[in-house]
Amino acid sequence: MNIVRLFAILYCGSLSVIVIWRHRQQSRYARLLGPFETPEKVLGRWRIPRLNNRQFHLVGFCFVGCLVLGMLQPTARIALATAIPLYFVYFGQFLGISYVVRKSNLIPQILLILVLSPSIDKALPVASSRWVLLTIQALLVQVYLSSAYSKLRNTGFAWVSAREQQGILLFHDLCYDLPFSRRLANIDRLCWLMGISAFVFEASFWIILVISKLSWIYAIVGILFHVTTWFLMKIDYMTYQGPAYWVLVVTPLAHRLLGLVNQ
Amino acid sequence: MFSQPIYPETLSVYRIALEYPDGSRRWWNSEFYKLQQTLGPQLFSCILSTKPERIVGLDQAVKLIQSVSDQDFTCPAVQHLCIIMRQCQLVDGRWKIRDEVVSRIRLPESKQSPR
Repeated sequence: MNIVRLFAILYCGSLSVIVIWRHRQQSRYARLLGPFETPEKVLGRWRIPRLNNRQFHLVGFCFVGCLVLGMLQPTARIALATAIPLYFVYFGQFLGISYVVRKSNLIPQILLILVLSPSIDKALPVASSRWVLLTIQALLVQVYLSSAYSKLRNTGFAWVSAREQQGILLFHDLCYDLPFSRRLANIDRLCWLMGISAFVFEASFWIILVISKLSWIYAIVGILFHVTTWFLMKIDYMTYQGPAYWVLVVTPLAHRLLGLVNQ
Repeated sequence: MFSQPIYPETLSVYRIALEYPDGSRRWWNSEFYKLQQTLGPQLFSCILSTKPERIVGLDQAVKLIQSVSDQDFTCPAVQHLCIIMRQCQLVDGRWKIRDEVVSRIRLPESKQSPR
């Protein structure tokens, strides 16, 4: 089965639904805060133009249109290739939103890998090459591994201590009024357990590249991890990094689908 | 930032609160909640600044606070923007929060307009 195309359908489908769902808020941010912010540069070189309201809606519509066309076999490659520059122009207008800044970075990288994939415009029953999904998994691994590395580099193993976790929880309570986080910060043993489990999750995420059967377990743990950080710290990685999680479950899902078709 | 060492007892955060004519205060909120973390220090640094541009910076920050606020500034009229320093204290083995008003900005009538 063409698992790469199945992934492209799931990824582009869920991403377009999220963009449509968030578009109004993103538009408000661009309109209200745009004049106060300096436009970002792509790769530190090309300044992203500031769009007016009408242009913003148009670019958003084109981006979603490209994602939808990217789900269709004949137009997939050209549509996804067009979506990459549109991503920079569209997302460049509201990079300061908490669920966008640094959390949407995987989108153009995943789209680029899909564009380069030989299987993207092949039919679903055709077999696909394995390196595409492995590369996308490696992108996800790099996110968690670099996070674990920077914790070790900056704080060392003290990062998993109860005191460090208390500091993180209390900081978010001070900023956003999260009394439940403060209550947890008073339980030393729980803080230590949270620190150690978050660090072990991030530092061991690379295992999915070696033992692919563990992917779905890491998918469940990862979703739980991000739901917890949202609830306790208002850190939202699920909105724009969430669709990349399809790469962890697409292979077993494809086998299940194939089994259903063969029955 | 969450890879850096964070010591609860040295944490200090600047938040904005709205003060009403009866003296009551409410936290300033925005749907873009990250601004609750960034606009307080920004406004406070404008107040502390000695440069002549501080007036423009302050005016812009106040406009921004009003335009992205979840709250209506007119009914009841907001009289002051308060900058509140929030810190943590360990009291009887439990973490408590201590709030201290470090600055108050009176909003002129013309500024008390809806978004």
